[in-house]
Amino acid sequence: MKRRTFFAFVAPSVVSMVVLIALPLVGVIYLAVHQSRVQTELTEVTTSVPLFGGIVREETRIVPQPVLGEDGRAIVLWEFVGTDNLRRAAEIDGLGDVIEKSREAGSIRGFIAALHREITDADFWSALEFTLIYTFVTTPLILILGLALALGVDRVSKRARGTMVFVTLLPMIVTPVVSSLAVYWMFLDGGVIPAAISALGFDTFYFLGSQGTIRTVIVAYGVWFATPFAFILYFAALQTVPQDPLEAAIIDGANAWQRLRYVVLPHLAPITAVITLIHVMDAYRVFEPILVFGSRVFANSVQYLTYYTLAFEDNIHKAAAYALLTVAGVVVLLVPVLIRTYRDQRAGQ
Amino acid sequence: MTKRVLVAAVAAALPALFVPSAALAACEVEGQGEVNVISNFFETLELLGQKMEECEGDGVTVDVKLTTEHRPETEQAFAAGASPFDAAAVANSSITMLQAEGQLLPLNDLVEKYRDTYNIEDQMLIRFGEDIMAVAFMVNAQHLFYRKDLFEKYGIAVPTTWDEVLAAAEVLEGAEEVAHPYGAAFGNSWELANEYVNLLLGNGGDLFDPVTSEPTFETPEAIAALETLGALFEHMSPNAMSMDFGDVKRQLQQGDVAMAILWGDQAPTMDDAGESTVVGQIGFAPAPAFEAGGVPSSTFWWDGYVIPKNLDGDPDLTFQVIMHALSDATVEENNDTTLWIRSNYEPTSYTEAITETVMQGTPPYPMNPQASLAHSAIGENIADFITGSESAEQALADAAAAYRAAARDAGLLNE
Amino acid sequence: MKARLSPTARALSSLGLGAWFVVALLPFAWMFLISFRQPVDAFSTPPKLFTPMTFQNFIHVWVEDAFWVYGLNTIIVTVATMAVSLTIGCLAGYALARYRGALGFWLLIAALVFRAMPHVVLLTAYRPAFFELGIWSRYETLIVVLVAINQPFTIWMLRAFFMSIPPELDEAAMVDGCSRWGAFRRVIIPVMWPGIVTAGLFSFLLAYNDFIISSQLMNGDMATMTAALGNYMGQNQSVERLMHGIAGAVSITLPIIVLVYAFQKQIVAGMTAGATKG
Repeated sequence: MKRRTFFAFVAPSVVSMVVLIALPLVGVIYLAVHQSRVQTELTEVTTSVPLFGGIVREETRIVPQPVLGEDGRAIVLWEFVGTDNLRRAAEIDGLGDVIEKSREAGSIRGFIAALHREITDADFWSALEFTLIYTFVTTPLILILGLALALGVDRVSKRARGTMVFVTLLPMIVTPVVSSLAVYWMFLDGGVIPAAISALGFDTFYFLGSQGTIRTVIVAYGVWFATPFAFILYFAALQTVPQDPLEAAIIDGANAWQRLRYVVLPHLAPITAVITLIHVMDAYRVFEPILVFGSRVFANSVQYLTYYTLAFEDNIHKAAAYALLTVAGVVVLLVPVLIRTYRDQRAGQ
Repeated sequence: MTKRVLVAAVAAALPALFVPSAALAACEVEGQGEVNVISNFFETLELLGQKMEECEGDGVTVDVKLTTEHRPETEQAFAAGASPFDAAAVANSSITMLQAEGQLLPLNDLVEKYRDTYNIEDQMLIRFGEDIMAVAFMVNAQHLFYRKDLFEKYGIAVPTTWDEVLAAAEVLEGAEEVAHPYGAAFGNSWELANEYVNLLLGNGGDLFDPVTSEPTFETPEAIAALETLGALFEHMSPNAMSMDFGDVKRQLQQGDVAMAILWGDQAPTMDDAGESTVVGQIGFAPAPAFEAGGVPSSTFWWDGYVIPKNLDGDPDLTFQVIMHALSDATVEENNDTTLWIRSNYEPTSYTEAITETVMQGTPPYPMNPQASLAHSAIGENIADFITGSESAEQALADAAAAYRAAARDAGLLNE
Repeated sequence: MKARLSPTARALSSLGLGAWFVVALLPFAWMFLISFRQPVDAFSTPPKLFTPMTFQNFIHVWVEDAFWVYGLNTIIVTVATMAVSLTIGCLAGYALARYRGALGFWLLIAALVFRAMPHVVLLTAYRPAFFELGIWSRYETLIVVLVAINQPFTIWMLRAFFMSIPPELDEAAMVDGCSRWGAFRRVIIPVMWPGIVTAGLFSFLLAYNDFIISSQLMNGDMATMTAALGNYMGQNQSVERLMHGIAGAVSITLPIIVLVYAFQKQIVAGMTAGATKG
């Protein structure tokens, strides 16, 4: 394809991405390397606070109050801080101490355990820890389950196929906030699943009570939520498996497993790469189940950390720093894919 | 579904369809334009939102956005060049940041202009020095909700101190009627920090030094407060660290717990057979104190409306719309909805525990910008102690470090 | 043709599909069930299977809260996002599948990184900018943002589909006198339907399910259904409101169910069309 034609074809898409993703990204970098604050001075202020029945409580306190500019608005100071925000978000300065401290543990195992404990005490690293666990546990599971489902559904009758596709789509198409809640309610105290377990004669089981179980529930939700995605792409790709080699394999007496292993799977390799790539990125941004399952104590994610910093701490600069670290993490994660794509690209030239 | 339920459903829906149109004539505002309001989402604010929308007509449009994400949206809108929101609902905690950043429009002139028209009472006005920054309409505080029937059966007196709460929990631990003795919202870090702040202030502690903004997180009072939370957790559902306010409220309504600390304005819902299985069995008492006769471990809150300096609409019109919603008539028609500030409010048995809690000396939630930073730093870090992975001292030291970083970023702490 | 499997394998396969069927459906079935209940029964402990039913939750959401307004917003935003997204995505995806220059590679890499941006962060940049420009809370704004955010995914996916179409096809068309544009429109697009259906489905879902962006960029009455729903779900004080939210959630789910059911043939056919064309 000619370069000019290429430009013409990609122009609308590229413009939309530049204006609404790249420019905001530049804005985020700008925010991350700056610090802003309202100029304040300590002032003695008497506040009156209403009670009820006409009683008002007055209180005199020393409070930082804004210094107002000529236009009556507060004066906001902007300051370039370089990598300060990033360093603090990653708690890099603390890492040296952490390693020093962990060394005292003596044995290598003790060192790793101590290091893990210290590092996961830092917000970003603990969020990253669970994000990676979530990503790398769900990825193989959705690939296997998705493929198994696709193979299974591919074999059933036409009518059953429609129903299966439809039901399988559900966990994926229903709004994640809603589906997270629907799953969460099943695990609550006295929810359907604990109640079923109790009814079977086992002790009451508290799914949301410890780190291990709550993380398992979140990962299970992730698999349940993302398997349909793998299924759809596999199912579509299965339809394009060339029939000739399959027939040849059958005539040669290959069994089902051999046909799958030597004919079908190689054909599915490219789509597997796409599924993996997209799922890894989506999983890395996991948000809704963390929000809904609530417990940041037990499981956090980098996207939720950014959201929380922004929404509840109202610290735009720190949030921007977390966001950049998140993107850096994605780039690292994607390096193998990038290299592969690059090779394919070179080979294709 | 039975016919009766259908009839009840229609009957419940009908008045709501007709009341607004009947009251529509009552809203008379002067001016033209759009009024956009953002507010939190709970029953009273929803009611006030509907009242505001009554003012629509003749060149006036009113749009009220009710969202639980109101805080970041309000903060961003008020910090922008022009705020698309002409007013926002705030409470003690959320007003402080907005006020400390100089984003609020002083309402003194508007209050004077409309004082008689809307019978604006002095007790509704939130002042920072000379400036009137908000018009408040309700107050609220957390207090103790308990099962009267179980307390009677097991011969427990209504606890007034935390030691008594723990003793009662000990007795109830084996009770077959409930799964767990105690419930409180530990699952959401903001709510968890709120529980802690209640205990800390009740124990005579403080979050920070107001002059230097230095945290005072690691005092004996603070450690005692945190250890009390830890002791209470022993008597809660093992899932408690994942259960937010709504979950705890349902626990009590479903008879899963025998006592809980909840927001006072939720008291009437305990006797609503549509959502509660313990109708008539819940008693309300002031929040417990650390010592007999001490200050209840709670804070009291007000809710009100503010107008930003950078609004893109007309402040005069906006103010009229707000005041229409906060009129005497609203309070009269909806007396039982909440604890209104207006003097024509008639107290009910459901709000007694709130007033008692406040009258026994519970402080207002601190209206300093440092408090909201301290609050989130604490919420982030103390769970490590409650779940047993850190000591109280360590958890509070982590919280202090997080607070310092946030206060430095906000320019409140110089190092 | 499909070769036969051993009876054990077939039994296992049916069992697996059956298990998945239950697991996929259970949370929604339960939600559907409790949406017709009073709050007291919906979250009873232990859960009950049979309780009195009521339509109150649905009546409240649709009549008193005028949920249909949000429904209308959703239709506008979803349809427009899907149309624009697929149009510009197909153009770019096709070009990326056929162009051999290094630029294409870098574009894909950039798209990958863009896709990784947490939406929350993009929002911090959008909001002040849209406030200043006065384009906040407008359909066009939300549509354009959703299209842009969806582009990286769309072009990657469509490129993968276009790559599976042999280049000889368009080359042959061009030899026959078609321009590149003509070959794309007349020869490639007709065999691309499976890919377009799949990509369209994902575009639709993104716009339909988006919560963070819609809820933050739109004012009260301009919100989409999903964004409006977040308000019911996020607020945890009133169980009654939560029940309205559940009724709303079921209401949101039903159109998708109907849609997927109505277009089931097209979706499955779209997904399987490659077999006959390939």
